[in-house]
Amino acid sequence: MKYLAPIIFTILCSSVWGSFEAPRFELQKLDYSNRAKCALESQKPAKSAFLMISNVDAAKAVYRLAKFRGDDVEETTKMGIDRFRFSVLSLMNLIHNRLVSRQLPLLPSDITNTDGHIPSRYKEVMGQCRQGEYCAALDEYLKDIWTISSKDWNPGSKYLEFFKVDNYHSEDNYLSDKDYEKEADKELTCAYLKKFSPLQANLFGTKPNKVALEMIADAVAQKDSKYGHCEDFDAQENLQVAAYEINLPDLKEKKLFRKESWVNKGFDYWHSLRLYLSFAFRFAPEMEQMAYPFAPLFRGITLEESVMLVPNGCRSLSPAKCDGDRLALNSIREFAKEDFKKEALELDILSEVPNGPDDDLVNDMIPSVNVDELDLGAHRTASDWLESFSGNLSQSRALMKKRLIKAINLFNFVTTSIPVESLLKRLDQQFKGKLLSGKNSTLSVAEKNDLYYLCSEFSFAQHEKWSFIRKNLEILSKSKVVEGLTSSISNVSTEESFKYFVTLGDAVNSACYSLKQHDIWDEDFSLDKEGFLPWYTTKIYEGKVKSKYNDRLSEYLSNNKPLLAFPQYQATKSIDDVICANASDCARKTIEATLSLYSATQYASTFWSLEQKVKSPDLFNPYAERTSCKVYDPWFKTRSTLFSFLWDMGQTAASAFVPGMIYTSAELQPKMVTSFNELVKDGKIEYDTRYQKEKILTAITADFGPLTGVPCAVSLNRNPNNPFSVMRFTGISVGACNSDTDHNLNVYSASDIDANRESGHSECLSCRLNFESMSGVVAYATQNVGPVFFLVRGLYNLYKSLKDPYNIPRSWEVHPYDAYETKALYGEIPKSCVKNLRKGKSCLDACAEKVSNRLSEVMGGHIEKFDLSSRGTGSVKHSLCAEPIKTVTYENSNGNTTSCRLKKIEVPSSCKGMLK
Amino acid sequence: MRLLILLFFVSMPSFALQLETVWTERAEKNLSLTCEGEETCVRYCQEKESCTVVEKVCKNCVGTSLAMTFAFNEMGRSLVASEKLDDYALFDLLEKNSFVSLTSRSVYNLVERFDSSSLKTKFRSLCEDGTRYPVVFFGKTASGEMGRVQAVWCESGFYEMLQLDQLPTDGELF
Repeated sequence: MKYLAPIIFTILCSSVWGSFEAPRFELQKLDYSNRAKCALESQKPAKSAFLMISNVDAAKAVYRLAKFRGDDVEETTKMGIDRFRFSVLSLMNLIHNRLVSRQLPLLPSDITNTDGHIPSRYKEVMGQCRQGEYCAALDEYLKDIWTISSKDWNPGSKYLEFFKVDNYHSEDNYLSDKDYEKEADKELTCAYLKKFSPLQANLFGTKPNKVALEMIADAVAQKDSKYGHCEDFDAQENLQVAAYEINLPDLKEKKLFRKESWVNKGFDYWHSLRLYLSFAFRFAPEMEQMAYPFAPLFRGITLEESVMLVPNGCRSLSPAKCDGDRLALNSIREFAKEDFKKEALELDILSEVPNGPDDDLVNDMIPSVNVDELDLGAHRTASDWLESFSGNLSQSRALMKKRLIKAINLFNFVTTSIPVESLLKRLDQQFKGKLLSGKNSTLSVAEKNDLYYLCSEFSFAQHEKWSFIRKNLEILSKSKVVEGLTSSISNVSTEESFKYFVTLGDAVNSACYSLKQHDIWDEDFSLDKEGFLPWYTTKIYEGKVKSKYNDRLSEYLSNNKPLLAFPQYQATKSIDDVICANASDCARKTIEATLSLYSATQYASTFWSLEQKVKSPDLFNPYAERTSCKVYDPWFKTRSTLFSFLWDMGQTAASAFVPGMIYTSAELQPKMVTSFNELVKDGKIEYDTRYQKEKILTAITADFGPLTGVPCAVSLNRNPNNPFSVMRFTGISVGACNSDTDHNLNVYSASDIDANRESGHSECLSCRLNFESMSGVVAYATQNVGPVFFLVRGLYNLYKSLKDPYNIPRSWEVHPYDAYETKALYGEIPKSCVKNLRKGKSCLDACAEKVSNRLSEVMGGHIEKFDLSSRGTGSVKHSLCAEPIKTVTYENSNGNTTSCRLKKIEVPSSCKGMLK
Repeated sequence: MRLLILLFFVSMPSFALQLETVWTERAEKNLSLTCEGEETCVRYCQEKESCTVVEKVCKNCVGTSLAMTFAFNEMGRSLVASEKLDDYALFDLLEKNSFVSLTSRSVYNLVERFDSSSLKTKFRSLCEDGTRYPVVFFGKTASGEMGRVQAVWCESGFYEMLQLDQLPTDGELF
């Protein structure tokens, strides 16, 4: 094929800087896929990827180092940025070279895979590793392997030595010559990405037409403005980020009668590269040279937050598995959107009450593919795009950290300073004995409001049947994700924090149930909705009411001492130094803090690398997660799975041992429910058995108030086989929970709310009015799945969405050089050539093709201009040779067929150096 | 007379040695000890007046991890100095070499502006003796990341540090 000439890179020959070679670059064919094909492709390993480096942390640290030492700040920082990029590229190249020369074994990406050989110690080590927890055994294992690979031995000796570490005896565990095309270069090629262009057209569009092909041809002509050399750091103007395209050409896709091939080994290759990179960056002795003179500083960088590998196209870098990383994809894509900053506060990921990363999968099951979903075209350069993407990601991560720290601080202090019983007593005191002691005292308007907030917020968040997070807490408390993140700053375990929250909430809810609501919130009472906490106004009032909680708190503190505050408060009087102002503030803030922990757990995979390897999100294929989570089936084979999907957050690639599946069915008929009143009219109101008729009536008819989200239930599904169902409607969502007898529900009209029976008949379904999104997460755990977090959804609009022509898998491939040479020969892309070109074939006449193929073999590159003669001497202008290359060709026509004899090609002596 | 002299040394209030962070040309982090006649220090430095201790690489310290963000945000607030420790405690800690040290001029501080006045105030609030650059020591986790706060070096001594978990309630402070 036709490649750019190898760009040999031997950077900075100073002995201390080392002489590692950065990867070189060759243009590859473009693979186009429609929706269904893209979904299928996600299950195959990619051969091309983007390496995205954000060196903000590295640059900041070097800047501080220069300041500290009194060095030239600008010069040192620039050098640090270059060294950081160089060390990542070089280390990756080193790992690749060792992987393809048996100097490093492949580490299996799926230890449950029974097809290939999995070394026993490796299997044992990975079996011990848990997502979100540091795995010392893995570092030890990698150290043993890396030590051997760094020895100054021949590959054969290293290969033998690996046996001492583990039973690496199988061909499955190595990439070898057999995995490559004959005499192929096994190098990793690399180019600095200046600008996204038609040379990445596979990311922008599907079936290429004449116009698209001509644009590709033009882009080849201007490729110097699209690509730069990986090693040319001076030309990489953006000092914050850099994007590189790396390719693995010439790997055989499949081998006849042999199971080992790229299809089988590809995921292991990427898995190994990511694991080794993470490890070696911190521990490899080679880093001393690569990162000189900053190696010890760079080793301290959180590499996983600075470097990302993204597959170029529909294929993936990790096996299809519905895990946290896959579900995080959609939220990661949001960071790339041009309007992210404008929309950020509306996004679930930054919501204080998130629905979870699976929400988009349900809401947007059939997104388009290859339509520049990531707004690549909206940015002038690739670096601008990456800068915006990584800036959005790191700012959102910072916000998440801030919330987490606030939550940890609250639980650290509240759980030890004010035990639940003590806080309840204080609450009772605050509300003049009305809450618990049953006193007949009179509350001020402010106190009535405060009590209303307390009851509402706890009802909403903590109801034992219908709370949107309660069911998850038990499972989340066992998840080690938050624990792993916060262990060094938290004095209280997540389990203890949740226990505090649940105990407090049960007591508050129980006290609120027994209140005579009409006596307190009489007809004259007008609720000041701005006093709710922000998470509540966001969810219940959908942002139409803006919370002024902090203003109210400041007002309160201007006349009162805070209940719990840092000593600094005395001097600063800053609300930031207050843990909680009074008892109800303390209690209500436990909900906010729980939500922060909940949110961090939900989106942990988006913000943090929970395993000891570099992240590799399938950014360009929205079907990667939809296919692996069985929301979308590209072959329509298993329609039943279309209605279910599973998120198993604990199921990691590293320790994919967790069995089990739980799914829900959705047999409900979709129905538009437009208002709560409609439900009332339909007589479909249910309420919690613990509320008594006379206590609930006022609240429902006046305002949902403390009962919002809690008591109403809708009878829609009475199928006894599906006691757990969740269904989404426009404007309303309905969750069904178990009834104790025959799944029949009591249905009452609003005007005739009967005294409820205590049997629990009505505790079956819940409706959540006007806060439909709240139901985003409804998790049901079964007894036998262990400490695993399952989220289950029912989907109803899938069939409709599937009725389109894109669900028959189709693909096309175009080699940019073929398009270029066709245009060079004919002056345009002839219509007759379009079909051939998108099949990956060239479309030249017989002699042009002969010359092109020959020059490609001996030089690489491509022909820029043809001036051939049908019989005799001609010439071509080649991309790698300044002077014309003389040719002698003879064309023969025989009826409909034309053939060509290439007699001579004369490469000028000035270009002989470019010959392979 | 000998007893009197001994008592004088034992009750001497100040900790004579100086402690300073140094970053070498190869970006290695060292702690430089100047003993100023302090005996334990001189012994630690193998009978020299000064010596340096190499501080091992701290995993994920060059970043804004939760631990790093918490440390710089909460210094002097949730993270406070407590009891004065035995003079040997510092040398024990240095000897074990499993620590991370931070100052307001820390290169690891990617959270706030380098040596900002607010950061200086936070760190200086740890030492009552007006030490310009207190050095706060944290332990390390099994993975080599920064762990829990341990102690702070002030010119007047080496003090235990705590992460507060309890605050007075009901405005008892005021």
